[in-house]
Amino acid sequence: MKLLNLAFKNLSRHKTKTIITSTAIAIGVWLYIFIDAWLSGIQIDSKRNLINFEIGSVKIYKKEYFEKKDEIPMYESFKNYEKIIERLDKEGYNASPRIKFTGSLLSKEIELPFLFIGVNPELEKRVFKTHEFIEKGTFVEDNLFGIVLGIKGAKDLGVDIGDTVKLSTVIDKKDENNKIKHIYQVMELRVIGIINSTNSIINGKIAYLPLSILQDEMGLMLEGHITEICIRKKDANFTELPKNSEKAKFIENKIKDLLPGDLILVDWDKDAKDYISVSSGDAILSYITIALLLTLAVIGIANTMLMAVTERTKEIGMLKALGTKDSEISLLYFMEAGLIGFIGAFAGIILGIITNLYMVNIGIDYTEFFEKSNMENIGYRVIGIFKSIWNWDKIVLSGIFSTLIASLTAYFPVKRALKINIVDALRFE
Amino acid sequence: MEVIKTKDLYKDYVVNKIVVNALRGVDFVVKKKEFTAIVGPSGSGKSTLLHLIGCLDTLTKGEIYLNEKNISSLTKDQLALLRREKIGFIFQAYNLIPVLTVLENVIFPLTLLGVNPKEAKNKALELLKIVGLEGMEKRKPKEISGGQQQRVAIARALIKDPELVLADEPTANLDSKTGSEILDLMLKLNTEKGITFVFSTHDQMVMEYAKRLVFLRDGKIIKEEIK
Repeated sequence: MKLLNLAFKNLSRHKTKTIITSTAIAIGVWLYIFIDAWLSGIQIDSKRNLINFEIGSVKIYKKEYFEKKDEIPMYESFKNYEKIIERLDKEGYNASPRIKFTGSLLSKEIELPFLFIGVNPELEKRVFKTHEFIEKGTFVEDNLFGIVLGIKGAKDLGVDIGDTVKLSTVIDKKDENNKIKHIYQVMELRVIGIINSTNSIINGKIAYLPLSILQDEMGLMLEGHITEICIRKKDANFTELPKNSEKAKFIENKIKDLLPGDLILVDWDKDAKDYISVSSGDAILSYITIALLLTLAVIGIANTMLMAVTERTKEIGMLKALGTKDSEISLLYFMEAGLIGFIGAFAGIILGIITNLYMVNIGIDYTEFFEKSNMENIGYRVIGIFKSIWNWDKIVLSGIFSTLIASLTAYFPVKRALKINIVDALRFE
Repeated sequence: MEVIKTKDLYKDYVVNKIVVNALRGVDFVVKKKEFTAIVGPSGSGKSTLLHLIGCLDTLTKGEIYLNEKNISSLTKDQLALLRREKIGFIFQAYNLIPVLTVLENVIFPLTLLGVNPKEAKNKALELLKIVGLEGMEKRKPKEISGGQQQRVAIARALIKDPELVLADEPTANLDSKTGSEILDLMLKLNTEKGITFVFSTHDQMVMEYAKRLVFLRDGKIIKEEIK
């Protein structure tokens, strides 16, 4: 306490320098709190949207499919999955069988590449939220040659409900010798629904159609084959991320005896690994920028402290003469530097909290911007208003960390102060 | 009772690779309640002797006793505690802490000793009254004169009731009138409170105040005078 008072008063010696250094720390801490809360908000929304619209909590794939899933290899499909779905149902899980394939849609005006998802509408509705975001028309209906499009995809194609589109694709099938056959197929479909969801990817060039119409020569000649089963717990809370009971390992234990050796269960975060690594990369880049800013602030503090030791050489000698121990002199300088960090961190936290109050409750509306841009290239599964979330632990940690780092910058100046011989220090001019 | 006793005290410095023999076998004793001046020209070793008996520097050879306790082999921290508890210093350049007020500067040694703040404040106020600085408690050092700063330094040296006060040329930076006021004050404290003072000087006026004079030349005591 005795030294804290002195350390605090020492800050007033170079008020301007103290204010500039503290301000730099404050800006660093404020930016950290703002960006962290903002990215966390986007990421949590993206993750929820990935789970609620694209993956579920766990997916079942053929192992070979998962290994090259970016190519969407529809020939790596499997059948006889009904018993798995029945068992999952008994165990308290909803499951939606799907086939994914690529191709293009042709309207009267244009041909655009699309990703197609064949679904069992009833089962799909239990696992995903997509059907709740039909802006026009209806969701997919069994045995109906209808197609449901994302709003941006429909807009780019220039089609609306009731219009006819042609689906052009190449069916990749393995024959009895495991050789891949390519069969060109064209289907005529009516647009029956348009999706405007909170997931930008789903609103893009994605089209849903019923699995039932894809089974024979009129469709994709699937003969009961699918490429994936998406799973979600029946009582899952769609606003939260999956819990342990929705983990692949946990579910696998319940269906182990039914699971053929070539099928694997994949957790949602492993399935979305590419997205997660890209979004983490974005976050890391932001944190590096903030770290650079804080480094500059820290160099500023170190410089202030070094200057303090040099100009107070005589005073250090006098403090020692009065009986101040080396450890107490160290503490004095560590506290002084720490206080600069603390003042900056405190101001940064206050600014961060004020900014977050706005960002958590109101957010920034990017709707117009996203409507004009190509959402698929952005990667984040969000649309419209970007909101932040409260990360209280990180807010507190940012304050503690900045104070500690600031304090540690006094290490070398302190070392120098302790080396000073009392008699030499007292003679210093 | 002997407050200080040195035995065959040597101190060598190395300046630009040249060894300087600052003290060369000093035997020196100061008894309780003495008002002693170490006198000599510049470079005679008087400040060095004061620094050694004030535990501010390490000796080259010999022994130093403070209250009959050998302090020659104490550690840095032990010496710091000894200075904190038993020795008061008055420097030529006052050396007050500029960011602290007059009152806080005087209290500082007691805060190091962990004395209750209220008790420390009362004692500091009492001392400031004695040294004639009543009403100046809230001023910063730069807001008072050199003589007043030296009075603050005296109050700071005395607040912990030290067994010994060492003053290195305490009036060198003051005009003769202020200097004699400071010496009057030190003498008064020595007479009334029985505090032992040892100071270095080469000023004739200061010598006149001293009750005992120890003459130093080339690192050796050449003469002593008791008035």
